[in-house]
Amino acid sequence: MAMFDVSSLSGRVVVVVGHFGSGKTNVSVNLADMLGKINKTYLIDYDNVNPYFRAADAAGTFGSSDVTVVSGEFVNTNVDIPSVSPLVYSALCGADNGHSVIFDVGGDMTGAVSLGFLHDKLVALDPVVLYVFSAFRPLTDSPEAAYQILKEIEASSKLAVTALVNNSNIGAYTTAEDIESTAGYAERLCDLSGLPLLFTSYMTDRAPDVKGEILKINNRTKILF
Amino acid sequence: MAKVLIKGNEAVAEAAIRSGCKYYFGYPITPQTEIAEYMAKKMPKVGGLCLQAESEVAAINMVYGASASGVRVMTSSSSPGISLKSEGVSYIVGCDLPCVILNVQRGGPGLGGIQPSQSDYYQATKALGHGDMQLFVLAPSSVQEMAQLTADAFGVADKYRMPVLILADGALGQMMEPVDFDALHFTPEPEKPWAVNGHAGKRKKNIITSLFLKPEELESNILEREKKYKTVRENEVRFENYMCDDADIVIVSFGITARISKAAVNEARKKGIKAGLLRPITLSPFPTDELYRLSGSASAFLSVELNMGQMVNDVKLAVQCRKPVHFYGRTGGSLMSSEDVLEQIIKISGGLL
Repeated sequence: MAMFDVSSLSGRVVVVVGHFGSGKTNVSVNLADMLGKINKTYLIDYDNVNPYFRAADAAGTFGSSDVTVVSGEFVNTNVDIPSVSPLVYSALCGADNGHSVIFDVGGDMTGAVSLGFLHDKLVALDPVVLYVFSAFRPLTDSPEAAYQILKEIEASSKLAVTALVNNSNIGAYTTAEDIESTAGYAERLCDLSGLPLLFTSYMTDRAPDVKGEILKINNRTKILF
Repeated sequence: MAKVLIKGNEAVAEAAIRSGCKYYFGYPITPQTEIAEYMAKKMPKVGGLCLQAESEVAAINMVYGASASGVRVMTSSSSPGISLKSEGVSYIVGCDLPCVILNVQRGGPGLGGIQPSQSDYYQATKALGHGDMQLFVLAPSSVQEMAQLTADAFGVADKYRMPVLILADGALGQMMEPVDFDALHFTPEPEKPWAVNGHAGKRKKNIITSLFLKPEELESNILEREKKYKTVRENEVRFENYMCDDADIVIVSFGITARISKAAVNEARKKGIKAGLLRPITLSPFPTDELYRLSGSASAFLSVELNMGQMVNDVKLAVQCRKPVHFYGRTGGSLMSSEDVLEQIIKISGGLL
């Protein structure tokens, strides 16, 4: 195991997709924080489904990291309709200037549909499309189930996933052993999809002993109470 | 699936399926839509049915029909959708049918908002439908409990042939916690000789109806049901008593608010204030006797709720004016913090200690 070099994503458009509850938002917020220390980074809250926990919640928590959070104008209000901020397109134009852009795409295949209107612009920017998975989510409790959701998201987003991120966790109760126990699952998902594992993320004190690269992240999920 | 990280909404759906619930009828509404989503994916795999009805009214009447045929069935919604279901719930009560209903509360009245709330307490415990009727109302306060109380709800519903309402809120529905499904205990489904599922010429026909042609028949039917409610009140009251027995100030709080209140109790104890938490797990039947008992030893009560003061009146009835009963709440989708509750405790104790 080696540490994943986040700077390899600097200046790129990174589209983070996956089954809801797999930790896409937390991975996105952490990546944004790390990339924002290298150069200007846009974190785009592209979740039109989750009413309570969103990347937009992290606005104002980045300190010296140069992260601009872009979110729909109705986020965290009672307006229960999907909307996309016009600033999303502006942020994408920033990618032409070498800025990093992270899309946190919530809501499974339904949430990924609205990426369609950005398709031509996105594809021209050669995005890194990361599929975040957790083996401890009931609807992705097998690699086969996770693979099916990956294919659904690809079909609705019209984007091809380029790499996988193993974010298997059971919140604050996760142990390094828990993560290690998902190694076989991750390998099988790589085989099924023909895609590489970019990194395994972890929040535990001890780094998990797994094949491939690992990335220490922090829990940046909003505390409700 | 030993231990998983799961949303409260998903935990209810999984626990229902494991309880032998084969039929789910619902209509989407934030913040409980994950239940329908989960049911739609899982029900076909277990030979069950998940159907998105054309409205909440249709969904509850599908529950009515399915329950009459003797199967375990549930529906779920959030506050405005529950209001729509109320006519059907009354019919189900009138027919003495078991079913499970989940309310993942959001702010009201009217369309209100999509953030968490406990402002449907009155509706759940006093009047989710017309007529002399009561529901059995359970209030989970963790995701693990969302799962366990769902399993319990099917058992109670079948045992007493009455609808069980699980009163949750948006926070419990949306937040994720680890759940150990192998640790759940389930009540096996009993025989249902009353069900209308075809007599095949072998028995007398069963009739399920809430219509009684003679007033005396309706009255005796209601009196019979009242006996059942009495048994429920005697046998099924559930609560958590957290450090109440030596407490000067007893906080009464349910669901997500009880979590916040428990943290405040711990902080108060560190400051030398003897606080405790009485958490009703059944809101109906209400832990009246336990509160009355505590009114002998405690100096004051504080009801903490996400509404403008609803359960506080049940606390007052239980305490019977023996001690002062205070109220603290937030509403409209805002949560209080444990510091807010602690401030109330200190304010009350200022007049006592």
